[in-house]
Amino acid sequence: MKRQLIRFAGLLLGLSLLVGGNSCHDRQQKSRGKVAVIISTLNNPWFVVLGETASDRARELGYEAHLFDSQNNPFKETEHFDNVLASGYKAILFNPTDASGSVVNVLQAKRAGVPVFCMDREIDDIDACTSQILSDNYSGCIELGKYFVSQMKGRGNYVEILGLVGDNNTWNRSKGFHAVVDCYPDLKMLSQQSADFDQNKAMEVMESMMQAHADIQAVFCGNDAMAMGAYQAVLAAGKAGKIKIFGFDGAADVINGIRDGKIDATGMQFPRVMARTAAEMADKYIRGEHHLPKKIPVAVELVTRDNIARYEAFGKEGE
Amino acid sequence: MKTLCYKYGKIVLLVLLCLLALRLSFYTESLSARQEREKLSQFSPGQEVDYYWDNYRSSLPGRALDLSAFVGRFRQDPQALAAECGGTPGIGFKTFFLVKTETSDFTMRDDCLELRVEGVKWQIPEKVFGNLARDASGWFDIEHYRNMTEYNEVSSYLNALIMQHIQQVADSSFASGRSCRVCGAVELALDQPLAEAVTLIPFELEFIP
Repeated sequence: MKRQLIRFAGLLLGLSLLVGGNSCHDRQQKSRGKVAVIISTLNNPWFVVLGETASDRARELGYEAHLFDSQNNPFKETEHFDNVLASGYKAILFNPTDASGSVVNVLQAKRAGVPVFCMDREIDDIDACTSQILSDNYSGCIELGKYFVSQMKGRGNYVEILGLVGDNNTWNRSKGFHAVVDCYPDLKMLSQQSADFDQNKAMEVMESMMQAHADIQAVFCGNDAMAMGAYQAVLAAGKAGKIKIFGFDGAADVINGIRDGKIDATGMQFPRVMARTAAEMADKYIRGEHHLPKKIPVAVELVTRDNIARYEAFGKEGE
Repeated sequence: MKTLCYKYGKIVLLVLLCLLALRLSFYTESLSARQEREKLSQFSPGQEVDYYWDNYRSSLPGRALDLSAFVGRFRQDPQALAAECGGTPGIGFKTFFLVKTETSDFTMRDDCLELRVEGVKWQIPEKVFGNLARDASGWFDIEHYRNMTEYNEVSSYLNALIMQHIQQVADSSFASGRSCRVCGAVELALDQPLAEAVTLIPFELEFIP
């Protein structure tokens, strides 16, 4: 009886080891490890597309992907990095909150041996990140600036609504735009204010700008959310169609707005291209390919009423 | 004697092998290249642009394609041409090329100098914007800059130098020029046919009497 019991226990142990081993093997086959996707804010649809596309592509490549929202708060971002680095993630697909403030988090990851791939927003350290995949904002805004000049026929008054002051994209866009527009002395900028890439803040800023200056003929906004905020203010003031509105991003509202004649133009960024490229580069790195380009600019395309048929929200049709 | 040769031959061979191993274990570069790299790392974007403009501009025509041949090859097989001598910074939809030509068929328009080669109007604009010149020159490596803002500053300085160069040449020798010699950069979409008019950003422009 005792011997039978021992045999039975042995059989049970063998079976459990076999089953346990198999399930472990299954898990290994299902997931190649965890990848964190840390996004500056999920309060803007553009960043939701960026984060979700990165997560989806990482999953397609066999990883377990988790999406974290920094809520535009550098402290929240640091918390996410602390948690991710303590939890055995293999790579971080990262959209920073601040070009210089986020460097410390990326360096912490680098010290821990976890590669970081920046998407859309860059950090002020070329060696901290494994790679940075960024929109060519400057060139995009040069094209937008040329179109702006042609629409204004080289003369008139305009205002500018800037994004987050600590974000390099804000200044690359503004400098690209001004590289062109400042060559035309009859185009006068009446005011330049920040609205932090936020739609509601942009509406308030535009309202106050219109109160201070009655003769605004155009507004250049550093992103599409702010362009929609500016449009709301312009509409409420009964000036729709009289003030030309220019955005940057290629968000759904603005693409529809260009179709409907509410918005004049935008610079189409390609968040899905950036997110997929970042996930694929992370996969290459994890597989052992460590010689990757440090920085990859992604071209931006000008979207106007003339070519709107070729585009949809956040990219091109069939992209 | 034979044994002596064999013995010393082995020693010489061994010494040579040791020297080779020693050589391979060190990274070496020419002193001038190293000095140049160190000097450039101290420069601001503006100083760096001046340095390349003064020292490397004359070598660009050696890398450029003759414009007539370029047009023929672009119309025939743009992809092959791009693979051989074009470039795209990062992920883009346009490819840049370095080209050169000399023609007597040119006109000064209100906002550009227009050259006609192979049925295409090559327009040298009065105002130069964007990153085409920076990218096509091949002088500036994106990985040497702290951020895109600094990298874009290179374009601002380079474009300003190019505009100055165009203005100087046009003012001094356009009136007496019977032909125009130019070396510059163009940017084209490979999936589209060559347009009727293409912008050409010049690195070297000269009117020949």
